[in-house]
Amino acid sequence: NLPDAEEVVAITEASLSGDEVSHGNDSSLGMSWSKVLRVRTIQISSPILAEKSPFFYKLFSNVTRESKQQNVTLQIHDSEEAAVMDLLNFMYSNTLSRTTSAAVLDVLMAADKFEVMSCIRYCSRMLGLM
Amino acid sequence: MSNQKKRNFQIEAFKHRVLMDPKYADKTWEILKHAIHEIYNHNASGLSFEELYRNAYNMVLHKFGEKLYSGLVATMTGHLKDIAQSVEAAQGGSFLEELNRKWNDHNKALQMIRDILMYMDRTYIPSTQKTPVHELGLNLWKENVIYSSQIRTRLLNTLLELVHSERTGEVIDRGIMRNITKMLMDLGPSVYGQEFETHFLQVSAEFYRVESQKFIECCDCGDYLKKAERRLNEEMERVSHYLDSRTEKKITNVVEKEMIENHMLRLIHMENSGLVHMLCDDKYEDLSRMYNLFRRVTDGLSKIREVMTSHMRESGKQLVTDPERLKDPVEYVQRLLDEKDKYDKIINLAFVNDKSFQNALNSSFEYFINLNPRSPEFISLFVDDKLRKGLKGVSEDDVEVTLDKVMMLFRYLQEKDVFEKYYKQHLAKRLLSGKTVSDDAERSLIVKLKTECGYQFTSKLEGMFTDMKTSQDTMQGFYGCHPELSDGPTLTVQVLTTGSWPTQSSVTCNLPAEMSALCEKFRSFYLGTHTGRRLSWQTNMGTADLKATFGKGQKHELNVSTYQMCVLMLFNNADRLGYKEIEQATEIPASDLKRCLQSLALVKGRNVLRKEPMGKDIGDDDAFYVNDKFSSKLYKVKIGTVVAQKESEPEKQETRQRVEEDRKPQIEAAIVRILKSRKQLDHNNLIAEVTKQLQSRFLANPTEVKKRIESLIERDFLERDDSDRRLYRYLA
Repeated sequence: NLPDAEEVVAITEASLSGDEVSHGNDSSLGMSWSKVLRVRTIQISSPILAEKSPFFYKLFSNVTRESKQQNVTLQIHDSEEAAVMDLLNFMYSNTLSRTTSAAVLDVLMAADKFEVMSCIRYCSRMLGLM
Repeated sequence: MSNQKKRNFQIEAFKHRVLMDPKYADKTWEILKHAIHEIYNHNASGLSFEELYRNAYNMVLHKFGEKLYSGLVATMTGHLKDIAQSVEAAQGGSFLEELNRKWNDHNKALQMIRDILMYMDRTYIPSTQKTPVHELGLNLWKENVIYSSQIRTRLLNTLLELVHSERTGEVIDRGIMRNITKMLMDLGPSVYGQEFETHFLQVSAEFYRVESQKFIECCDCGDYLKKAERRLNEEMERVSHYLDSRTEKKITNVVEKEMIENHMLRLIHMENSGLVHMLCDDKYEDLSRMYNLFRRVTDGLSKIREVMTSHMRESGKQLVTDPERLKDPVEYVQRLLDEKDKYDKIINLAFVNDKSFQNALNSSFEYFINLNPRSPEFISLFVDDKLRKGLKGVSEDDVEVTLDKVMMLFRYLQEKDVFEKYYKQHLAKRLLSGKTVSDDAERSLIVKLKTECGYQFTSKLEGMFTDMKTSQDTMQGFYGCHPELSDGPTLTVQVLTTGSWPTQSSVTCNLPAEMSALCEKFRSFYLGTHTGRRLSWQTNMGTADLKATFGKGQKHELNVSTYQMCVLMLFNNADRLGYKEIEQATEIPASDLKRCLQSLALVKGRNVLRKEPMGKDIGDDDAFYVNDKFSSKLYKVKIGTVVAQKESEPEKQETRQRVEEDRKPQIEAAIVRILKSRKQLDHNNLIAEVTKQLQSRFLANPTEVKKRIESLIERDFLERDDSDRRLYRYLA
């Protein structure tokens, strides 16, 4: 019982920058000490994400704010951006475009964060072969 | 694969994550703590799942897992203490409802908290061997709410009171009961057991101990069993509605023990309503209930079986030894069949055809049928009666059913050879007097006997049927050769093969001249076609049809026995004859002659002769006259013989002797068979084996077996061992 198949996920990138607290328009508590660098909006299928990742499944199905929103925001550190994009691609295609060990390691971190088991296994196997 | 390719590769440290705000952890935890409060206060819809997950993730990632976990424990404990207070404050009936509502709230909150802390649950908790969030939530509920001193006892008492109310006929809210017991189960089977089930079983045992004591004092057995059954069903229903399914076995055990096992013997032996009473009155429902309830407890069924067996044996023994019953063999066997039917029906309807009960039935019948040595004779007489007349107007299927039932009784007989002896006699009489009603029924019975007794026995019976058929052809041939005989009296001869038929001590009487001339003609005809044979007349077995004209001109055809014919023919030439004269003229054996005169002179409506003096018994000085006043509505009059259908005492002795005589070769054959295969055997084992081999036919008498062994030794079939006189050896 997930919401619409096409979900808009806005990825907000923030950097943790010490005491530099942004007092911007973002009222959510979590944002209080980070600065939003840029917002990227992508159209993505929520059932696919939910199927691959318990995090996304719970994100869409719990009674929290997100379950009622069309646009769901995912806030990540700027250093994670490339890895998260790769992870989202992987969930659609089951392959990774960047195969350097550093890149795969970053994807592995992201996959672990969102519990995408298929990707965790994939990255581990790749790293084992290197 | 990775084993094969051993390469060193480095993982770069996460330089970009090293620097952390020292207040970061506190701030982050505050956010999560606030969220937990909001969740317990039903305000979750304002929270961002992504943010909370991210924060929890970051805390774990940055080694603040311990802070997160202990914070969770403290926060949740705080909430549960509040909850416990509000449950404690609930008044009377709302107690369980409040508990249930709070439990549901806690479960929902716990679910969401677990989702938010999913990352911690997956990584931090397994690595530190802490209790996972969900289990932690249940444990904290148990410790803070269920084990609260204000709640624990109250909860138990409330549950037990509700059960008690329901047992005493009140309607309770089963839904809330189900939810609460489900909660206890969710907290762990041991919690359900300790906080509820153990006490429930104790209280139940006490309840049923008191109740069963009350019932047993005032109810009869049937009513008591009904009540016990109802209680049992109620408990099972209770379990299905609001207890854990594993409780069913335990609570039914309690009811079974208190209501049935503890009162088993008293119930079975209850005066005027116990098992024997139920059996006598065919109370199928009560018996079925007793069976189904007693089956549940140890030794329940064997107790029923014991009492039923001894009852069957006792009443069966009374039946077969009752002197009244011995007067009418047909009634005697009918009673046995009725008894068998009765118990078959009980076992079928009430005891689900339980094999052990069928065995008890069979062994009981075997026991008492053989208490009466005349059982084999009577069973054969019963068959005789049925095949003579009883089967008229009865469908073929019913005939089969009756015959099958009789075969059941036959199987119970120990002395099957005695039955066979009588059966052969009775069959012979039936065939010769043309009294058998249904050829099919006769043959069907022979087939049944063949399966029971083997070909040897039935081949002789079949020989009897063949003789009957051949005799018909012979008679046709005889009258074909002597067309001149068609005017005079007609003779029908049945030629019986010696050996196939029961041997009769044949005393030939004097036949009337007309008849003996005819007999001579037949003799020369028969021996003319069958050289080397010998014919002897069995006048005791024949019948005759006489045309008679009485004093006032009334004409009748009299159907009589050969002996009766001989007597009546004498009155063609005399008006009055004394007993002695008749005896002299006919040479009929005295006992037969007396019987025959009785039936001619003393049976009302059949009395073609008149006796002087009147009186029941025939004396040597009695005189006989033709009864001129004889009248009958029918033209044909059948004059039966006053037959002692049942054997008289001397006849019985004679049959017995013949049976013993016939057993001798069978015992000898068994001895030889056994020793031939064993070569040598000691006395006791030989006797045991012989008895076993002959068991299906009769019970061999050890003294007789010993005599047969002696006789075989005399005839050099066996020898005694020289050193051990108890040892026998076979001589080839």
